[in-house]
Amino acid sequence: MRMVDFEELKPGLVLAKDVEHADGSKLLGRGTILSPAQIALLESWRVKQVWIEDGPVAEEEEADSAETKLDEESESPVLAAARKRLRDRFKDRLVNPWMESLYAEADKRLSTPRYWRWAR
Amino acid sequence: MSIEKAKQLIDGIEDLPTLPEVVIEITRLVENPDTTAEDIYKIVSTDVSLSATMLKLVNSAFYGMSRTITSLEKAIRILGFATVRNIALAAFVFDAFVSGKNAIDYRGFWLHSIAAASASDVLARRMRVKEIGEYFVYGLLHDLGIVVMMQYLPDELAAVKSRVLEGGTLGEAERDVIGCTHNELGAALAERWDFPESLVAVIEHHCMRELPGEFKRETAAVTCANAIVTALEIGAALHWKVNVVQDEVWELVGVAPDQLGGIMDEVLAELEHSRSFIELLYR
Repeated sequence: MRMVDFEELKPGLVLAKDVEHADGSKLLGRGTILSPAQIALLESWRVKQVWIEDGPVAEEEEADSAETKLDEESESPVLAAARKRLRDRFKDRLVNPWMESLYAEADKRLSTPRYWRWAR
Repeated sequence: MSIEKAKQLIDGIEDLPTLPEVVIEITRLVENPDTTAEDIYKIVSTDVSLSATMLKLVNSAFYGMSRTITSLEKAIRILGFATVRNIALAAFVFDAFVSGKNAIDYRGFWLHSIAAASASDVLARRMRVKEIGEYFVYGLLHDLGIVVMMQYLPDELAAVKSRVLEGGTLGEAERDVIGCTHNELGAALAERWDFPESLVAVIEHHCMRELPGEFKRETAAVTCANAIVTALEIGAALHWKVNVVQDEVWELVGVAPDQLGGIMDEVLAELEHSRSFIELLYR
């Protein structure tokens, strides 16, 4: 196990410890094979360093499949919670094309660094 | 009428800050069409801290000047009279309610206000409004009533919050607990302080179903701005749900549904600049 700076991260590395948010909630679990999308998320959460398993980088294929699995089911609990709060905020509110677009566009931005810079 | 109730509540506050003479004088001058930049300069320059704020502001990233402006008179010309007045008002509200006092409790609230201000500003640009800075301050101070609740009615505010969390609408909860809404409370205070009519109208009518008779565009912009920043969950407003904004309000602001994504990105980008705007006010 070694500590790796954010800048050194690449797809296929395996997390040796859970990555936690400043508030203590779990972002990504131990054993996660990092995908490009997850590395982008780590950046948006301003994670500076993570613990990585020793040993070779996992096969590209595995990393690719890890990325395609980054849907509702496998996404981090923090992102899933944000998505749920967004749904709740718009419950019964999708009454015109503007409100529908607001919802869809806010949802698209949930996984961007800019969103997380301001989010609670 | 609950606006009457709001006025009673405001009148009942004993230690309500009074508007400083310099702010009253600036307001009076800005309303007079014959006023020159020199007139305003004479008043602003009597207040060292306000002068410094104006200069810092005009030199902040928000205005993107290519070189440093060192003359106060020039700064006033660049900012525009209405913006100078609004900055004076905003600086007063900050001094009166924010600096030093429970700053942490206020953080989420002011972040919401700053975000609404940035979004109002982005919308004002699209509407080709002449004085952009005015819309910024409409957004910044639209929830003045909540400042009143935080400062003078903390128990009632807590009761309102818990009702809203249980699923009640904000307006109903406020009427049940306090007897008036934060819109009415803010408008009553803004009137008492002789804030400009447009600002009073925005404070009283933002996020309501109906637009006011006057200052429709201003109110519409702040209402849309609120929906945009609540969608993005920036800061903490009392209404955690997004307000429904009717078709005609969006149309008045001139925004099509497919433009909202781009607007969100502009708002998020502008927030970076606006934050320095607010830091200026914390003196």
